[in-house]
Amino acid sequence: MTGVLGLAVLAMAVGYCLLAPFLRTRPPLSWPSYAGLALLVGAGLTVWMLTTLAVVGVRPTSTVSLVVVVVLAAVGVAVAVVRPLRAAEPPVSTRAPDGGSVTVAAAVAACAAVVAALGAVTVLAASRSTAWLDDTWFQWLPRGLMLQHQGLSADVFTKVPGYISFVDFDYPLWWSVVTADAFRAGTEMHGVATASALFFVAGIGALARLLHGLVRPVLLWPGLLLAMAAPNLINQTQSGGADLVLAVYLTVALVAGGAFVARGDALALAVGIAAAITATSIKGEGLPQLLLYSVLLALFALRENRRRVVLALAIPLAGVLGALPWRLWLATHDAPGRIRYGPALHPVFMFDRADRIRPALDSILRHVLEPRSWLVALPLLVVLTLFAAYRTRRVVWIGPLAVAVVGIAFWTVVYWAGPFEVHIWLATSVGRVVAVVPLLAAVAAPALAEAGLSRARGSTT
Amino acid sequence: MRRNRWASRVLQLVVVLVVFGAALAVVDSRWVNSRVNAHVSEYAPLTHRFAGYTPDYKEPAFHTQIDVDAFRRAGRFLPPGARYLMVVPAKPLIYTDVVSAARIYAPWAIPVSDPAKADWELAYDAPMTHIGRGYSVVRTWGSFLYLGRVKR
Repeated sequence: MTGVLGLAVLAMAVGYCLLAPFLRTRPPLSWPSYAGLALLVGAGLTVWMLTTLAVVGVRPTSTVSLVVVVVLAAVGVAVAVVRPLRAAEPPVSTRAPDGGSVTVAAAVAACAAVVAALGAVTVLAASRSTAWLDDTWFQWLPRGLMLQHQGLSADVFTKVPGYISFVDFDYPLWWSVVTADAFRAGTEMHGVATASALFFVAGIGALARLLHGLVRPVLLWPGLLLAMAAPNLINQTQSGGADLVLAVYLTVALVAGGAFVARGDALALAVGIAAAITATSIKGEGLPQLLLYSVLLALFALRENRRRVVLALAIPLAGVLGALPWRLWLATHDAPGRIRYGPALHPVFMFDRADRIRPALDSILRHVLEPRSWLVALPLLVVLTLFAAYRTRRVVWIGPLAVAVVGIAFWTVVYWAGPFEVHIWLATSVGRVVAVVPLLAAVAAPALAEAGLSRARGSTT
Repeated sequence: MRRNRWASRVLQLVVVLVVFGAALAVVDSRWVNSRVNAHVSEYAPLTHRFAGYTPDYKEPAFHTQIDVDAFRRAGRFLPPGARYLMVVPAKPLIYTDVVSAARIYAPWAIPVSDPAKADWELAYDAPMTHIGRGYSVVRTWGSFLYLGRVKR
């Protein structure tokens, strides 16, 4: 585990340097609470840079990785030093709304401690686990190792007659590079799961930081506990697959966008942009989901603060730019993937396979509503949406529920239009790929409760 | 007021330390683990990694039982850029496992399916199809993994 932890500390250091221009105006005592954000931003952008360099012919070797780390850190520090303090964003309030009495404060502290302890236990358990998902060993890891040793060779990374190609050769490269680094840095078998768990725990920490000051702690920490204790997510930390990490980055991108619209915090916008770039570089479904969910949330938030909503659209735009290098490389090498979204636009094609809708929808709903996988994340989202929307009479609070509904619809269409036998496909993937829906529900729940309780228009949320 | 705030801070710190310590101690208790596992088996990924349970296996989670260590040793014999023909029994699951193991332990080499493109042959639990037709066996590992090189 030491090697993977070392890489995580390095990524966190890069993240802190990149966030330095924003952290300069905040109290130094609050900086440790940005550790989760720093890890996600540092790892996300460093590996994205490496995959982009691979597209232009630079192998992501240890030396190249070190150069990228130094350059990114230097850019962050230089901007923090050169940027005059007066040009910086005014410090946002880091004080949370009133936490209540001493007893409530103790209860909040206990809840936060349980989240932290569960996070530590999850990482420790993953550090003793061999990734159980076959894709890890058949796709993600070998692709990353071969990329590091051979560069982005068309013989290896596309379908060339006479060569044995990867089944899903169109998968983006980000997670492959991470798994290869974790495999080499850890004790081979356990490194990948350790990295997954670290991303998950960092994601929970990042969400706590983004929502701090917007949601009172007595609501925030139980919501985060709901996400942290979800058995499905804990199980996925040991899968070695990219779905959990994609869900984490997508959720952070969307929540960061929401935090920016709520309080105009430039740091949240920057984090959202970094998370969006990363999310669309992890898996193919990252981009369509990011576009769908962020545009939907923007529509619901339009009446709140039009200027900030327009600025927040930089997040999905960054996602498009993040996915571009890999998509361009695939296009120039005439390598379309197995799963395409085009057929979903052909009515006749879709009508012919309408019998796939029912099993797909049934299976997705069964998974996201399963309390033994997701506790009560989605039912709670429904109840709290009604509560917040009724109490505030503001349409913005319907946004998270709309994202959940559209997320379920999106995956139904994917399984409906997809090329594989639907029952086998569902049985082997649905529990993992829909993770972003319940994760976002668990995180949105405290914000909805806060809105309903605060009630008055123009409150902090 | 200030005294009250300090009391609250100290209480919070004590609660955090107690809960955090207790949670870690509880997870490493064989008695608690077995009960959690009996009642909430969804948390088996956690409980199975602590007291009372054996550690996870140390090889990749392949579909079949292949000797990964043999691939680890064989990979060192393939030079960078080598193109090797994979020869694997015609069983659906084992093919993916063997190709993946070769890719993981010889990531500097390229697996091919066309004999004309290969300058090496890696055969797993199958006869080397091209021996005698231009290939010679370089090394064997056990009675199941053969590495051959094309004669130039």
